[in-house]
Amino acid sequence: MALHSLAVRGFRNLGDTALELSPQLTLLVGHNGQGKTNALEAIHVAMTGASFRSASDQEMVGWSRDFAAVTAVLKSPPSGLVTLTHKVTKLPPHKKHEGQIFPVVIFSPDDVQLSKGSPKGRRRFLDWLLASVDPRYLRLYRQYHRALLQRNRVIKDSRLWPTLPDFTQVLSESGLYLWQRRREILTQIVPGTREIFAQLTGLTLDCALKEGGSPGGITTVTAYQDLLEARRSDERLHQTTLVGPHRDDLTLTINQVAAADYASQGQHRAIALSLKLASYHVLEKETGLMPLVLLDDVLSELDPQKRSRLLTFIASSNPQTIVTDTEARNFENLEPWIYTVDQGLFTRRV
Amino acid sequence: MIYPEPIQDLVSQLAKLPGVGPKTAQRLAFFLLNMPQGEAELLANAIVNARSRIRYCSVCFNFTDRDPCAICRNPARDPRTIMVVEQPKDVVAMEKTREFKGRYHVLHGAISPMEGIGPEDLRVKDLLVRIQQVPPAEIVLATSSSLEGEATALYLGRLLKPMGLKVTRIARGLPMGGDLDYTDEVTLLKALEGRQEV
Repeated sequence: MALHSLAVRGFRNLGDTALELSPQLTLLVGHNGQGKTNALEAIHVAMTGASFRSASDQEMVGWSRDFAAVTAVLKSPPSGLVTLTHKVTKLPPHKKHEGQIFPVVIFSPDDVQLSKGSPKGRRRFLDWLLASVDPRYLRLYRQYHRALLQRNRVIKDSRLWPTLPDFTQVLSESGLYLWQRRREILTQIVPGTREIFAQLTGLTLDCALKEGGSPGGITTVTAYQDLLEARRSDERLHQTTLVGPHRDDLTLTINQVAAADYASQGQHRAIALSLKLASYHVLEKETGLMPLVLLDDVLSELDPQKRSRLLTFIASSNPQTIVTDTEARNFENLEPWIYTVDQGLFTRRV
Repeated sequence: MIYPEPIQDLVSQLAKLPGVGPKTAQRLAFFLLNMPQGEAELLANAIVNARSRIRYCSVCFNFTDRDPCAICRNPARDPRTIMVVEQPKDVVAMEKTREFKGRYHVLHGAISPMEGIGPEDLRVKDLLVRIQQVPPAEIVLATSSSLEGEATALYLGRLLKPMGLKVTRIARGLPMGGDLDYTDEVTLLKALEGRQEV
């Protein structure tokens, strides 16, 4: 499966245009603010139905436009061409995206937040990985968060307290599955992450799921509900649900020292790069498809050692890759297609 | 553009309907104005008629023009089996199966804390009164399989079970023609729990 071309209409600052992509390496070169990252975002939306920026649909629609549409044409032998169109409007979507998601891994300077930033980013990483491996995960995820909203309302309103056990029940059913799936995906991604991190730094990285408000390892709905029951008075005090996957974190330690507190900037970047590279391999194995790789201004940000690790990965795994950069650089034995991006328009360099 | 007052009034009344925004309301208003006078009056009369003649059945709280409703009056319908549903349209859906021979109880909604809807905003108390008057042999909980429908069924189950009543829940799980492979775990678990001997 390869992304053959992309057509965009009304998407952020991009012109209404189409772009053919190399089955190997495409470079989008241009100054800042010309639309390089917007092009990667359009590709991401077409392939997965969602942005990698935490953007609302509304933000993706260009000024003075009513809607944006992105269409990806995929070439998948032997059946031929597959077309994926995703339309975003300024109104909230009636129907959330479900169904087939094509795996995409994006590397960006923001990845460093995976290690440095808040637990929310790490939960988002796990959810992204799970949703890419199994689109059914999204349904459970949404069901859980709806149950959570409902239950938090019950906690805040004494008139509704008689219904607390019922919302606890529906919450724990989906919550338990989120925990189980997150544990499973972690066992798959940790070995690869540790290996890559050791190659980059010579240090030992540990990576574990810290389950929100739980000692961990809960396997039954009853045990889950016991945890919630034990925190009942705390919940009334804090007016919110204190146990569950919405409070999970991924604890990262380097040689048994918490990365969040003590890691250097270079180590944070190494953790992020290791997690992303490892997730590529998990996605490839689990979906049986070669994930599309997007590099968003990442090469100039990395030190020579990490850059070379990333370039080695691209040269050896040879995924279809789209790179944005402010200048065209050499990719040893690969012959990239190069586009100049200027004010939302693409010109192929020959 | 500012319309004459009667048109503006019509537009703003139409815009109160579900799924109708200001633009659609405008379109509908002009459609109504372009209709033959008689047609428009038929519509207006239908609204007034329905509103004045339709009320809640005092037994099951379904909409009816005669109290009690046709189902609650029908001696062939077993008063000892009560099916609890969320909406009047659920009664219509169930009646189409021609399988259910008992009577209904319409809650007019499901418990949804986010929308401020608790048990006392639904016809729950009326159900309890009804049960005391004519103790049923079985209560079938047929609220929807949405999160809110599930929570409502759980709530009613906890309320009614201790009264020594037989309470059942309609089966949830795979839709007909549904693919096992595309079903999430929570749904699959429900389907497994509700399995039956063949």
